[in-house]
Amino acid sequence: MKTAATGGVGETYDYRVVRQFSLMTVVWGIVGMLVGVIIAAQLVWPELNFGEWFHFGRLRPLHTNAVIFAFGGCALMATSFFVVQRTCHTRLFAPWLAGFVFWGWQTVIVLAAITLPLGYTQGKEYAELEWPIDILITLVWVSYAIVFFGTIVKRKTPHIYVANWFYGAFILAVAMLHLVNSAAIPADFMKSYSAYAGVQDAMIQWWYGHNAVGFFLTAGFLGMMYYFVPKQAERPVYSYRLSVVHFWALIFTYMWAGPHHLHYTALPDWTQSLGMVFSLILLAPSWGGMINGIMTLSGAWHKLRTDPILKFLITSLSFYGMSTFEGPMMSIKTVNALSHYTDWTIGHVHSGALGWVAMISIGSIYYLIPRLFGQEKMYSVPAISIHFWMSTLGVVLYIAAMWIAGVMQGLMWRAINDDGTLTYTFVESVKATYPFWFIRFLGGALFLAGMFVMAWNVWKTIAGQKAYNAPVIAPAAAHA
Amino acid sequence: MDYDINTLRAAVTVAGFACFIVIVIMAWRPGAQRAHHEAAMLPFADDDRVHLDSGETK
Repeated sequence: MKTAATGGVGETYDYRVVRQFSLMTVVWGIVGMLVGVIIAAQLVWPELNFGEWFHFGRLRPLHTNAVIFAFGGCALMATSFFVVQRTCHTRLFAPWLAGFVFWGWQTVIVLAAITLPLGYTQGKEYAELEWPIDILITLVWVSYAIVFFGTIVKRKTPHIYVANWFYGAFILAVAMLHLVNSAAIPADFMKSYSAYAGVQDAMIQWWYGHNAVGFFLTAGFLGMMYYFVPKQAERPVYSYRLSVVHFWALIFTYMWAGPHHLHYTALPDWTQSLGMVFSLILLAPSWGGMINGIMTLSGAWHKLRTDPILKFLITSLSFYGMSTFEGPMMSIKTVNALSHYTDWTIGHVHSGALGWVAMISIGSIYYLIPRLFGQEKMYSVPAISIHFWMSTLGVVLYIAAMWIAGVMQGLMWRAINDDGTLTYTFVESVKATYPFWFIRFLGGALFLAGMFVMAWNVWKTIAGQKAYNAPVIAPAAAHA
Repeated sequence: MDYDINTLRAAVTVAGFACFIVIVIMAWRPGAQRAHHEAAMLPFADDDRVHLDSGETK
């Protein structure tokens, strides 16, 4: 261990936990997407459903939990711990607690991977984990909040950079969502019943579900965007004023959009309409964020030609813009009457999850890895480029197949003959979907293959290298 | 007029909207420009490229 002239402050940033989470982002990305490709294959070849533990119904929640909370969660924790230190010019508050956040979160992930295939579930989408695991999540999350906000409190800068506002909102909102939606009465060690009943239970679940999209999968990753896009483009964000306004607009609006998951159900009609209206309003702050990110490149577009990390970041924003246009459109009740319960929804989700969330995370991790291991850049920059094209082609194949499949399913289900009988049986729509499920499988497999290219590149970058902790530098006067 | 839980809900909604309008006005006030510029430059207030002569390897 060597400690040399460490800037003005004489200490180094806590990169250890950032390194741990960054590497696990790649690992869990591969695991989560592999399970996704497996269940995509199970739809094409039903013979691949082996027994109860290896069945689509058990593996699908494993896939969603692994990609959202393991891959996405590790990416968010890695980047937030990096960004909050760098923009506050101070070490982490309570680094030992950050260590608990890492090991606690990995324990939650492993417990999910064990209990979900065994069939232990609360039956709530994205909140399946049973109550003892929920309690562990709460402990980890509160620790995460203490470390993050503690670091902000001891910052050496007068301002709190906008990326930290987004990370902070994500941490606070997810804490609230988890506590409310996971409230349950335990029946025994691995079985519980929701504290809510009937349509209230459904509404609380989708208040949770949509805000998991809004705060976990959007606000947190916008925090990533607001740091890594300006850094990689080497220019400040297009409009800081816009970032303030779209932050608050996003926060005020997302909370109300959940009812669009329950159109034409027992939920009162006015609640459905309210959810639809707020979903439509959401287009404005969403596009405010997208425009702010993409326009940061204004005057430096040429960098997109040569910089594959920037390609990942900017393309992710294009997918963010696309899926936040599609979402409000699908929340319109008449559109939803066609799209709901079809594969269109799956296509929409993956346009956001693969196109936006995964690609901004991948770009950010490529930015971080060399800096965490004392390197100037990744081992192979052309491999990042190859990964970029594999990912982009994979997403496009995936979502195009699901759009066609979804609209076709919706039209077949609603088609009626002159005498009022259904034109198609359900199984006929299943049969018609097979080719598109196969194309989706190919798209997903291509995206997963890209993750293996990333894993190889990361391995070659860090193998034999020493971990590196950068010196804490007193903030230079922020003028320019 | 009868006051019930819905009166409170309406009041909170109106207060939330008023709060947002205030945030927008604050963001557009002339004095905010300087603070916004300072904050926007924060990611560039330090150099995060690797300098092996400083920092710590292990």
